Amino acid sequence: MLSFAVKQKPAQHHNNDMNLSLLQQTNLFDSFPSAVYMCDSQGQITYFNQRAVMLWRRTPRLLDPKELFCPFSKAYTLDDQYMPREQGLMAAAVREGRVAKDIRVKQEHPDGSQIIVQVNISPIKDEEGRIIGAINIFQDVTEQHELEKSLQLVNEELKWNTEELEQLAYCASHDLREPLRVASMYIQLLERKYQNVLDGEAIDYINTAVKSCERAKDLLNDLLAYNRVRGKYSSFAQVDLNKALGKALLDLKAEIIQKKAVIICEDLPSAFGDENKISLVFQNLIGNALKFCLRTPEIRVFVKDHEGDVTIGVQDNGIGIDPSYKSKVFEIFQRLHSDEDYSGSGIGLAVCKKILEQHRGAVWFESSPSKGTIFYFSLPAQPAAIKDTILPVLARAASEELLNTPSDSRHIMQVYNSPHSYRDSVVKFLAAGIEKDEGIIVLATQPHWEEFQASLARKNFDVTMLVKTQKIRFIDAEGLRRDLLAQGKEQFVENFTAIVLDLILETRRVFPKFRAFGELVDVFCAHGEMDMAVEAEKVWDQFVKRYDFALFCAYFAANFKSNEDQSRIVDICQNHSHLLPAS
Amino acid sequence: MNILIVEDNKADQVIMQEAFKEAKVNCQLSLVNDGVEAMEFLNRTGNFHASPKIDLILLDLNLPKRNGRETLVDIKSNTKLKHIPVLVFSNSESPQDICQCYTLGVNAYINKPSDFQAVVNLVHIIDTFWIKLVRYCPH
Repeated sequence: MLSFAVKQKPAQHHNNDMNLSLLQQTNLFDSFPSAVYMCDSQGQITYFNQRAVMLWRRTPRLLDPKELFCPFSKAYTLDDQYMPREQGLMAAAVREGRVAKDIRVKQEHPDGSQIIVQVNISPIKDEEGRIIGAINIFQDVTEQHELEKSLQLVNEELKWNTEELEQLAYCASHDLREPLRVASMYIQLLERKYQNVLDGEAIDYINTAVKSCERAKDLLNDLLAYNRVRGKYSSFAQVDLNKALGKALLDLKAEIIQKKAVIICEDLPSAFGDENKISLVFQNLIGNALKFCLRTPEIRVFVKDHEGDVTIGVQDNGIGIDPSYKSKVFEIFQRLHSDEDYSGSGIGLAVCKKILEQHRGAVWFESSPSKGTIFYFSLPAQPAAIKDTILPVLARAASEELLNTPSDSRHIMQVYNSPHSYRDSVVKFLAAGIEKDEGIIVLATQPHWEEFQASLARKNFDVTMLVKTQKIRFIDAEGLRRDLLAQGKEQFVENFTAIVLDLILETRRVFPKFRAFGELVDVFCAHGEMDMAVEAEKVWDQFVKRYDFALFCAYFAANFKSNEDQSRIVDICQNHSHLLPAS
Repeated sequence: MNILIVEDNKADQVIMQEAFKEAKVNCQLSLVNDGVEAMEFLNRTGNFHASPKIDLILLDLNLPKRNGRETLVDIKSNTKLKHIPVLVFSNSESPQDICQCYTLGVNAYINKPSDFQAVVNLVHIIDTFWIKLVRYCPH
């Protein structure tokens, strides 16, 4: 906090003003990044710097009794309460010695336009503690304020969405209790009233009870199925499909025995995915085959293809699917039959589709009515290598040409496989920006920064000059990481957001178009701090969308060693808009 | 003694009727399916010109058209009806729902029992308290 003591004796009071206005001449605060103004105990302005003039949009007269506490701009609280200057924060500092720390107020110019300023006010005291004036250090935080407000909105929205989901879960479980309650009561009623006799009414009761129970069971199963479909890529592993199929058959045991079904299974290979989810695919497909069948079900599970992806077929001798329903079959809660013919809520194939999409696989079918249906589904045989096809699904695949084009809201990432292979892309990206007269932010490690400088120099760029004129701003990524970690992981997002915002606003002030190369995330990855990397990319991605600049991020493939790490790069990829081919 | 049951769920209607039968309560039960019907019944309008004067109302909260809360407000803001005790039956255990109903003037808030014997017990209690013990405004 600021505290000002002016070495002055009360007897020399009249000299205070003189000395304070000496400040005006010495320009002490002119290089200060904030606006500063001071007043004496009457509220007459004794000092202001150039930034203050900029924010006020006028140059006040010093020691003018008509301009007490800067009456030329009106102040309002953030909720638009007018604050008369003589009752304002400066007056409170002068009269009551009150300190104001980081208070935001609206300042209205004579033309009616408003800015948000953040003020820090302290009383100025003489040696004996008497208040002889006050100092106000203030900044224009309009843009920041607005961003914070929008972030707050986003947060509230997220919170609201989470609450909505919780509400939904509550309602679902609540709704489940209802039919079960009715069913159990009817069964009790039945027991009490009709123990020995069974007439039409009793049969009605039985039906009601059975239907309610079934409905509850369906709802419960659907809910569970949905929950099973949600989940993380990090639970993926090499799955023995025979084992997944075995699990499904075990769950279907009762129906298989009841229908006297014949099930023939080939020896299946392994695939990369979530065993429980793949088992659920088998269960849904075989369950359908058992259900939609007028004769003894004969079901064959076989390997159709083993090259690259694993494609499995599930063939039945059931009623078949009318080809006109081809696109509808996989829609959620889509049913092709009435409840009387074939019960169910129509969720099974929708769940299959969702699961296979998560696996970056697919599901489809061939069918001829009355002869039967073959459902096929494909799964990756192995975890996709990072430079492989797994990533473009999430971010738009792009060509390196993108690096040359003028900055627009885009968040480009590239994975590099050898320690130096990414340098050309980065230098291309930076050089294009310099040539287009854009501002450049480089958030990189010191060694990499030196490499870039050398490469740019070879392209005849005067790097020293570019840095001196702040056309290129370099921030040491390792240092920033250390600082951020030192401030605590809990505050990481908050702190990082503030740093990036400052950086962007500073750059934007001078360069309407700018681009950034960011390596902090790669540094996090190198230290195994994948969570921080994902969080940091989320922050960047928000800013890219908001401030319309291009951000290029490079990731060293070797940092992603385990399956878990690879799953995180998928998360990272989701926070980018464009993905370049790996280098 | 005339009791009006406002309940849209046919299954619950039957349960209530059976429970009253089993508890051998000396009363006349009338059934309506929603809040709109309830108000017509109580005001003797629409299809309910000849409806009897009701002494006690059993009101489900979760109703189609005008829901239980709205119906409660309709009853308790009507000078000709507000003297009739209303017992709300609901599955909701949320404090907000409960408090809201009392604020709106309900005479008792009761969670729907989940087995039949409990419904019969409840009807016995209604019989002992609301039918045999409590004194009502004379018609």
